Amino acid sequence: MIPFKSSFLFLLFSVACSSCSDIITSRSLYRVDNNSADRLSTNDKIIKVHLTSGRVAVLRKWDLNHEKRIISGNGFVFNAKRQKINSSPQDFDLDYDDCVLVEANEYVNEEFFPTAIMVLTTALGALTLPCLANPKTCFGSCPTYYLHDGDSLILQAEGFSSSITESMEEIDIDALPKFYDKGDSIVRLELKNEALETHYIRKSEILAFRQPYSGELHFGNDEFFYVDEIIDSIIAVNSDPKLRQTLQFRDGDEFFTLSDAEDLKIKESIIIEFPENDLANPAVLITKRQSLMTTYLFYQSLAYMGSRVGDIMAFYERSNPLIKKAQKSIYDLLGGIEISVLIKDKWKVIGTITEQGPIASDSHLLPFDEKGSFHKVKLTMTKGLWRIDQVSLCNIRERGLEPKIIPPSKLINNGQQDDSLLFTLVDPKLMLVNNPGTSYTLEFDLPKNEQSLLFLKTQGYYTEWIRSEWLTEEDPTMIQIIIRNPAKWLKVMAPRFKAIEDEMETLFWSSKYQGQ
Amino acid sequence: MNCKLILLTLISVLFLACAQDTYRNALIPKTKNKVLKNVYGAYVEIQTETESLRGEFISLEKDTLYILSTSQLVYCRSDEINSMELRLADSKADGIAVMGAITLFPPLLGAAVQPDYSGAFLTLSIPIALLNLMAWGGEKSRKPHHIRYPDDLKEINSLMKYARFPYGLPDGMNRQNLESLIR
Repeated sequence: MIPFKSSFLFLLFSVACSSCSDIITSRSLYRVDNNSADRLSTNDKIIKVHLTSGRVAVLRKWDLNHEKRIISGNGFVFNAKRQKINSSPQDFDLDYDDCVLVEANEYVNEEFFPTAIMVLTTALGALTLPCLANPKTCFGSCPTYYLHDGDSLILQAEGFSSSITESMEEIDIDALPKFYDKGDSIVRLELKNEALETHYIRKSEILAFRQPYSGELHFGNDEFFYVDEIIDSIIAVNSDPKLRQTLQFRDGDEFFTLSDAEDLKIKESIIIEFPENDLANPAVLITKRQSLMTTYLFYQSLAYMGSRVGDIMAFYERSNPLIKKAQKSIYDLLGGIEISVLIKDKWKVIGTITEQGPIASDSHLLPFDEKGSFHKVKLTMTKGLWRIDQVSLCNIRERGLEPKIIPPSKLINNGQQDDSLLFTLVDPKLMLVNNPGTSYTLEFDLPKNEQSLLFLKTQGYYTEWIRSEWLTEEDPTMIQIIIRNPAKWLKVMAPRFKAIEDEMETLFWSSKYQGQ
Repeated sequence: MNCKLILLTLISVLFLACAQDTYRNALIPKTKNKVLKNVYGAYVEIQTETESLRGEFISLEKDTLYILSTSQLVYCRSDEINSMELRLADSKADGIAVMGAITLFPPLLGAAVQPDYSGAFLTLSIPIALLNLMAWGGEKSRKPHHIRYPDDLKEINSLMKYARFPYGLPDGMNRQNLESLIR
C-alpha cells in the first residue's frame, strides 16, 4: 500500500516539476539549395515545405536528393487558403525549383506529468462507471482492522466475515504479523466499518504470546502452534516451475484461477512440489483469502429476496430447516480448501480450511500425524473462489499454547477517549454497534519487557443493508431455486458472475465506504 | 425599447468575444503534434497608436504587416506598431478543465442515482477533483510560448518566419486578392 502522504507529495512534486518548464517552440527556415538544405536535421521528423503560389507541404519521412534536386516525403499539401489538396497522406517529390523555404519546428517540454495525472483521473472516473451499473461489485466488506504503523494504516484483519445474522455470531482469530519487541508498550488498531452494514462487535481482543525462541507462531484447528524448520522453497506448481513464485512468499502475489463459466461449484486441484523432507511433526501452512464470489452470491441472494429479506432472515433465525439447509448447502457446495499430502504414493486428506473473507489474507496451519517422507501437497478447491498467497511446510515444535488475553484499554472516537463505547467491548454481555463510516482507534497495552507475537480475536456478527436498487431485482423464483435446489442456483449464477469477475476485485478495492 | 437595445448590444458583444476566443484558440496550437503540423501563421495581437488588431499573421511586406482577423484582412504599417505579441503555443489547461468536468461526471451521477452509495461516490469524486485541479494547475502555470515585440525582439523583420507566408506574399497575390484568403 502506498502511503497517502507519499503519493500526495509525489503528485505535488509532479506539478511543481511541470510548472518549472515553459512551452518553447523554435522555428528554423532554410532556403532550398544544396548547401542550406543540408543543415536540416534528421531529428526534424516533420518539415514544412513552402512552395510557390502559397502552397505548403507538411511532410514526414522526408529525404533530400541533391542529384535529382527533389525533396521527397509523405504527407499533405495545402493551398494558399490552407485547404488540403489531398485528403489522405501521399508521397510527394517536390522539385527544388518549386520549393521556396523549408521550415522546421522544435517543441520543447513534454507534458508528461499533467498527462499522467489526467490518465489517473480518467481511470478513477471510468472506474466509477461499472459501480453505477452494478453496485453489487462495490462497497462490500466486514469489520476491518488496520494496524497503526507510524503514519500508515496497514490492513490486518477482517472480523467474522461469514456471520451475517445474530445466530451466526462467531469468533474469528487473525494473526498480526508485526513483531513486537520489549520496548513496545502499546498496539493501536483502527476498527472501521467501510460497508453498508451494521456491525455488532462483542469482542476485539489481542492474544499475546511470549516468544521463547526463534520460529513462528500459527493458528489452526482451534489451536496455537510454535513452528520451525519452515520449508518454503517450492520446486513446482502443477509441474510448472514458473508458477512457484506466486506461492513461495507471503507477498500479496496470489495464485488464483477464474471461476467455471457454467457451474460455480466446479472444483480444481493444484499440486505443489517441495524438496524431499523428513519433518518430525509436519504441518502445512497456507496463507489465503477468498475471492469475491461469495460476496457476490450473498449480495445477489439478498437482491432476489428484495422486500422479503426481513421475513426470510427471520425464518432463518427461527431455525426454519429448509432455509438453514439451503444456506448450509451453498457453503458446502462451494466448500473450503481441502489439503492432501502424498505419502507412500497415496493422497491423504489432512483437513479443510473454511474461513471466509475476501479482504485480508490470513495464515492457517494444518498438522498431520502421518509419518514418512513426503514432498507433494494438493489443494482442492472451487474454481475462482480462493486466492492463495503462500503454501509452506513446517515442523511443529510446541502446540496447545495458551495466550495472554488483552482487552482494549482505550477507545478513541474522533480524537476523544470514549469509555462508554469501550465498556461495550469489555463487558461480554454488551456489543459495540457500528454503522457505516464509523472508525475507532483501539489501544491495547502489551505485556511489559516481553517479545510478543500477537493475534487479534474478534467476536460478533453483522447485518447487511438492503440497497434500494436491489429491490428492483426481487425474484421469488430465484429464491425458490436457492432454497429447493442450491446446486442449480450455482449453475444459474455462473455466467452472471463470470460477466463481472474480471473487474470485481478492482472495483471492490476502489470503493470502500468512507462515510457520508 | 432601451432595455432591448442594451440586451441586443450585450448579446452582440458576447457573440463577438466568443468568436474571437474561438478563432484565437483555433490558431494557437496546444500540443506538440499540432505545433509541428501547423500550417497557419502565428496568432498576433498588435497595438498601434489608434487601434488594436488581432488575428493570424499572414505576411510582412516591406513596411506593411497583414493580419487575417475573424472577418477581414487588415494591415498596418510596421512603424505604427507600439507593441506586438505573437502566441506560438498554448497550454492545454482549457482541455484539461473540460476533461476534468467529464471525469467528475460519473461519480456525481453515481451519487445522484444511487443514493445509498452517495457517500462513497462523493468520496471517490474528491481524489478525482484533486487530481484534476493539480493537472489543471500544473498545466495552467506553464508559460505559453509567446514573443513580444519590441521587448523580446527588436527587429520586426525577424518575426517574418512566424507568418503564414514567411517568404512574403506569393507571386501574383497582391493586396486586392488577399481577400480571397478569408475562409
